[in-house]
Amino acid sequence: MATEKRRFLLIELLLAAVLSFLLLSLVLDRRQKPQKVIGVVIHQSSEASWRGFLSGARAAAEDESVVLSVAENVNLMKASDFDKTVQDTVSSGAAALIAKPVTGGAALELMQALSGRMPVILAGVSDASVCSVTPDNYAMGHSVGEEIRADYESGLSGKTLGILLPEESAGDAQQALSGLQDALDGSGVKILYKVKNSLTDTGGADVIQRQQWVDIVAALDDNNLGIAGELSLSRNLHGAVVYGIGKSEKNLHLLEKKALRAVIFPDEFTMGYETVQTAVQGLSRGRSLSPRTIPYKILRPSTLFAEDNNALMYLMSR
Amino acid sequence: MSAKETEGREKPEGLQGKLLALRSSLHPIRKAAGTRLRSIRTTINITFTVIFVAIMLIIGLTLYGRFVRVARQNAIEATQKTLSQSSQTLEQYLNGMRHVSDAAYYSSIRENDIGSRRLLEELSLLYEADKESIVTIAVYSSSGSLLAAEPVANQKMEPDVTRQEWFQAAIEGIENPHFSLPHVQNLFDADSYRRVISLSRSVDLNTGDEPETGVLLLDFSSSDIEQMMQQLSGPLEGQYYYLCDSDGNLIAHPQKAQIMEGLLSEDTSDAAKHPDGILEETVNGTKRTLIIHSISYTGWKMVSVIPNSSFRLGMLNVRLFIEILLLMAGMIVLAVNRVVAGRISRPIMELNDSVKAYEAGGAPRIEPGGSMEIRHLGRSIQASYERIDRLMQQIVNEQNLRRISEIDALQSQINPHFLYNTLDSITWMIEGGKNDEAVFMISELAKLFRISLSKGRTIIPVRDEIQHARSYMNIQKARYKDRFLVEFNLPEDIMDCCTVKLILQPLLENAIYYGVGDMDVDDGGKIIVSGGTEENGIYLRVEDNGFGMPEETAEAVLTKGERVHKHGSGVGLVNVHNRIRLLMGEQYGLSVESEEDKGTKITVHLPKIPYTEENRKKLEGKGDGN
Repeated sequence: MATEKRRFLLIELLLAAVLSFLLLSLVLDRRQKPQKVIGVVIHQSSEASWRGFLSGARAAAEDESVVLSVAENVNLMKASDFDKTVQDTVSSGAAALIAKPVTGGAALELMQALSGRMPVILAGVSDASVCSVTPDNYAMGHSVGEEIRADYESGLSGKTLGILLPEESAGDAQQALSGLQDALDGSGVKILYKVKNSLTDTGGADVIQRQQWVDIVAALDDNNLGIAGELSLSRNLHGAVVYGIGKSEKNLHLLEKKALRAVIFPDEFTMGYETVQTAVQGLSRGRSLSPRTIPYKILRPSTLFAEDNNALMYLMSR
Repeated sequence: MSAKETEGREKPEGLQGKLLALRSSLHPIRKAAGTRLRSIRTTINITFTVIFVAIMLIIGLTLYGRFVRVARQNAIEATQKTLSQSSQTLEQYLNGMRHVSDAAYYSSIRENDIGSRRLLEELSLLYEADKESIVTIAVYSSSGSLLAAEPVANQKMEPDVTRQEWFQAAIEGIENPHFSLPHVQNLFDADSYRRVISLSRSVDLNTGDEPETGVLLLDFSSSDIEQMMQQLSGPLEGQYYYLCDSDGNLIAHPQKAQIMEGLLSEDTSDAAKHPDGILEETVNGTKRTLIIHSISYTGWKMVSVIPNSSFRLGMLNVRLFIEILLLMAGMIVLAVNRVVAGRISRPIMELNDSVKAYEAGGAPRIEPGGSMEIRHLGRSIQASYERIDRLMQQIVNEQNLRRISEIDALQSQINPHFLYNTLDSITWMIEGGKNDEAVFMISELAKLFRISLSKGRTIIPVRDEIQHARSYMNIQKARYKDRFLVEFNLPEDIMDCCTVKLILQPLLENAIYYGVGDMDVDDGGKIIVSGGTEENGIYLRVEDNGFGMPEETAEAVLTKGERVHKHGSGVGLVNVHNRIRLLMGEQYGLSVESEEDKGTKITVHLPKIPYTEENRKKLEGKGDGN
């Protein structure tokens, strides 16, 4: 009798445990599951040059059912500003972080430290110890050099070149510069200046115009390319031909107007998409982060509306 | 317990042991019954539970399956309704653009000369009327020259209009307006690139003398259609809608950017070719349902995609609910079944417990509870137990009586007076030199004692009992100096029958002491021992012609105790009578006839049972209560 009663109680307890589990599942299923937050910290995020990246990031966030928290239009030229913005983003509940540090050194060290306790992805800049999703900056700079050589063929000897760089030390511009210099090595072109500028509009135009007159201007970032293109369009660049790396609609317009000779255009949408995808993968237990390299296109005025560039034009259009 | 122990000395324990053994013999039955009873309760429990669970599972699965089918059907019908309504909205929108194009052509271009101010004004009005949607209204010559445009803008120099798809489609399909796929407008200088859908048609231009063919272009923003498609949402999670042309080229898709970038893919080939309706397909191992609706005039298809996993996800709550319901019902049924099974089996278990208590030596008290049948069973068992107890007690009593009788009978054989007198007679004979007579007396005494003992047996052949009687009479005749005669007349056919030992000697003793013992020689006292077969068995008779006894004394002699004669053994007729009844049955025993001064006749009635070892054991066992 006692054995039978014990058996009965055991079975009822077991069923009650299963019932509790099912009830909990039902309640949890009905409750809206809180979505994970991924923080995005990039310098001047509201600038047009980030539109493609943020479009891709938002598309990935919707596909992966996560929430993007973008630090609005922050100036991250100072390491302390970057540090503060990152800390604020993390303390607001971000489960993963996407960042484009403008300055190297302490900013990258902060990323390295954070990567120990949450997924951290660098966008657009590579680092040995932190996962990055970036185009091959060296290859893009090299492509700029190749386009210059293709246009001038053997006629570069004696030509002068001015190089515009962003005022940052995160490394991406340096890699592009290395690529450019390697591509032009032995071409005979003379580099008259390498100028770092992060000022926009007239401030930036002043910086460029103060430089020596050159035959060719190579701008290795979107801001400087846009300024140089505007100056070329308004014939204030003393006839210099402009090449460079760009990612905004403005530079496409300048290219179409032939103010720019060639633009190396990284696939920012894919970069934004894959950065978020990588962060989501990092949030899954047991999955390690894998760095990714983003493709880029070489655009000329004649090829801007080619079928190969339909996707790019679609993303850049409204 | 050994047979020897059981035989005479420790019969109470033997009886108690047998009693307990009898009770214990019920144990296997009780054990078997108890085992079956436990399984009855468990069987009832398990049977009811299994039946209920099976029924609930069948009902649950059937309901769930039905619900899934109905829910799926409802989701598909809701989607079809949404598609139909959305298609109508899109068609209205496209018709609106067609109307603008028609108005531009029929009301303006055909009515006015190309390049006239009125034409430009009317085109401007049309543009202003819907400039949220319209990007450009333009008229081109057949060679691709821009003839008129609203809003006014600088035309780009580079693009060859005649090579653009909208222009070629208009020229090729003269009668019909043509809707292009969404593309970036590459016609006019602008601050930003605009995604447009071109509605183009071939038009007749009034250029003065002769009409010319031209192309009317109406570029409208594709964002209207994209927003319309983005607002569509299905009842199921994971469901989405897209718009494609008849060749499968995407017009609008919630993930169009990802698809164009090659990050995702969408197989539209089957949907583009399929007529309106439902299409089941498997893409990359994923099953999904497509619901297709065509858009009039354009050949476009509005498609709703429902991954089959969405149906399952939507049913997850229902499935969980049904599982919870089944589980709760199962728990309740288990408890109820246990109570019901307990109530049904409790009276049986109580009956079982009562039987157990009785087997352990308790009183035969059965708890009569439960249903009519169980109560009847309980009463029957109680009656059986009480009867068993009575029978056992009866056996004990009979055994006790038998023991007392045999002890008395044996005691008579070693009565000091009889032995003393007999030995005294032998001594006298020896002293008197009558050695032969002494030897005879001693041998007869030996025979007497030998048969008395009979190796401890209670049942002996009639022959031995007669010999015992002869020996006794020979001794008594010697003592009584032949004052009476003794005759033995017994047929041979009864000599080998069973009899209880030591039954004739007491009768002969009484015949001597109360009959012929005090008669003179001349009175001719005589004792006759006879026997024979009668209707129900055999008889042995001792009859004398002595003083007899009154009738009432003769009637009471077997019931009112013994008369102990100072010369006798003290074992009376009652003892003999009881011993015969105990061992042979109550229908046997003594019968006494006597008449004063005439004599007494005592008949011993016995069954006719041949003396064999087997019969002896049976009769002696019967006397033991076995």
